[in-house]
Amino acid sequence: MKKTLLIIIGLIVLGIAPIVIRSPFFVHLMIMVLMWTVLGASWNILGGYAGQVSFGHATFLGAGAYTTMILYLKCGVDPWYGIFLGGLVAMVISLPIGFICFRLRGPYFSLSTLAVAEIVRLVALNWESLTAGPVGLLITTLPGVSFLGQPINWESKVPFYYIIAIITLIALIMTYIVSRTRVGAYLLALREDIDSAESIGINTVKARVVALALSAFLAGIAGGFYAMYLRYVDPDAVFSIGLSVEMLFIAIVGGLATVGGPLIGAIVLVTLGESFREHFLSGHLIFYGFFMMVAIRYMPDGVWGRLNVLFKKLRLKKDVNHGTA
Amino acid sequence: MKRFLVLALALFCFSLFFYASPAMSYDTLKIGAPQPMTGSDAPFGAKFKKAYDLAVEEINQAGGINGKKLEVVIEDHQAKNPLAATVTEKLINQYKVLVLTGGRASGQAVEIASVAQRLKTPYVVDHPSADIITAKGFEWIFRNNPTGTIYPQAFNKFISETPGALPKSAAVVYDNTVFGKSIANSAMSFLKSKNVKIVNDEAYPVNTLDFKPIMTKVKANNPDFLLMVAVSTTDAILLTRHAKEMGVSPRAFVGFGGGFGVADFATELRKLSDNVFSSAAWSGNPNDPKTKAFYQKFEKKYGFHPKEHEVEGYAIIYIIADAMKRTKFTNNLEKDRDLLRQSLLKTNMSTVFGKVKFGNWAGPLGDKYTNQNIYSPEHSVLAQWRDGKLLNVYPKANAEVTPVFPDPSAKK
Repeated sequence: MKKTLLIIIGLIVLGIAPIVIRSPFFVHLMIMVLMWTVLGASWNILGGYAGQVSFGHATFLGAGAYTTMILYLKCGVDPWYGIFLGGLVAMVISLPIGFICFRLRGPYFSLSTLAVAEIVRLVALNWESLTAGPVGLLITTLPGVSFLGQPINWESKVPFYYIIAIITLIALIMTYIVSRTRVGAYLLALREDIDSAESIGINTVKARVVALALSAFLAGIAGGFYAMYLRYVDPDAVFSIGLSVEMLFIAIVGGLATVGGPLIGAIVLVTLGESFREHFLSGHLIFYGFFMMVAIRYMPDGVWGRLNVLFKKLRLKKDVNHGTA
Repeated sequence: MKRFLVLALALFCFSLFFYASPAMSYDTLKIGAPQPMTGSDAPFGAKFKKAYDLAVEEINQAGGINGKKLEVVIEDHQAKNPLAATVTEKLINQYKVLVLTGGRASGQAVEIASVAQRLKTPYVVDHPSADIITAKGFEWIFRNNPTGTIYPQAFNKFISETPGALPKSAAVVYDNTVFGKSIANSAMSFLKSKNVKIVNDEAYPVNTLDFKPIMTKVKANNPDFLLMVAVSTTDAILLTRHAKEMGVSPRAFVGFGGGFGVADFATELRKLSDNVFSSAAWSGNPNDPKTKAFYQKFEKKYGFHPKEHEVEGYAIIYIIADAMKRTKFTNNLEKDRDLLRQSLLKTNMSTVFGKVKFGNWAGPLGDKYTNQNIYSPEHSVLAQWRDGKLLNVYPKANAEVTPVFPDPSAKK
């Protein structure tokens, strides 16, 4: 009961935030937080629930970004379908990768994702007729769209905010569904002990391929949004290992295998990064790194996990107090 | 205790975030500069900071801009594109800067240009060279430095104007970056227009450790000229070393890009660096007394000789200051940004970098530039390594010595 109330309050806050907060910079920051949430959630499905550590998730983000961009620039497909198609293309790309890489276990799988990411980056760099190579693709104008009879102003940030807010909700709901269904149980089982999972008849390759496909779909959608919002993609920006690692950080700091973890992780890391940078021009990464160390050492379940524990303790205390009274 | 520490740390971090509210006074005129201040590109951010600081200090000591102080606000984009967009938003919306400069690498500069165009804030590019930045019709974006495709101009002039210098054939080896590609395409299209046969067209990834396979192919074609493009210094060194070790002996070794212009090139290669041409980045005309004076002043203050980055950074502040002086500010930020843009359009001056006037014209590969310095084709120079020193050889107006050509090691 309390939970539903909290969720409703969260939704209302999410909905009115850009109207209350007038500063375009803060709206921009919120957009970045939500975009990173989707990316963190994407990584979390594979890395958190299934325990398959991927170092190459930028592949799917890049695939989504390039698909949306190319469809718009070369075929004139509206980005709003393009973003969705970007997710689908990322998903399709993930299938052969999954079938090949999931025959490997543990660190071998992680290494193979790194290799795939590098291969895809090199393809994007050299397939010039399609991707414009290292020059990258740049959008200067977005197509006119009207919503409820009103033309949408793409120069303002509010429409982008609502688009990414909806995508974030989809990502969180998807994570919730995965955690509640049979697939989720399969994933948790194979994360804990892959041999036992196989012995009770779980097709672990298939389960992991499904997890990867869902994960890639989310990363691809986020990539499509990235392309439309930032309007410029080049291979080194969207296929970089740095991006993959940031997704991993967000999922881990937020809390692995939790629904709200990536959201908390993105809020904490984006705002922290921003405030450190503002105060220390070139020393800010030291503080950022220090925070990561503290988070990993003292909050192995992530910030979300820690909050949950504290919350439970509080409730317990209250109950005890009630008991004595 | 532990819990207390963690809590205190968390509180400290968040208080920083909310405490932050940059001053928004109009007593100072602010220039925003996104630069890489951390990560592998950090040394470049530091170079630009030094150059900006020197120029701002001088301008403010001389009375500022019509009585107002000038200030440069640098924000770290860590050479990441999404972060470049974020800090640009921040500079424009939070710090309320009038104008932007900086950027350092092309990828981030395109992102900054895209945001600046949307938020209607002038962005005067000082160093990023990708053609795309001024080739998309962005009317809020200006650029003082030459674009990538303009870099080979001095070399083109040299081979067409010097009797007997036109190569019969050429091998072109370049790195797979925006910069490498732009230069290689520009040079190759010029050579083709002169009916020079391109016998090798080889791209390699940055930081390749072994160029011997490529040089074996090159040697088999026995090119008259060997053109090499390298942004990375190690690539430039290894390209030259492996070419010479494999016995490639063209009439001229020509290097393009930053890798061929740094002192390490000569210290590592010693004798092997002799007579290698470097179509280096333009860092002002060394024969111009104004530029010479700047070199000395900079060296005295910071203890090292300024190269293209410092010259570009220093010059850009003067270009912006000049436009600001001609602008009658109304204290309405949006209006003032547009007024400043109008003033920039009328810029016609000369700095330590050279002459500057922004205009719309077509580049060497047919790109339609908007607000690109019309004197850019003059800002290209051919230099040659001589006894460990890089000296300008062409065009004559900027030359320090006469070129050694053909290379004495060439087969007769």
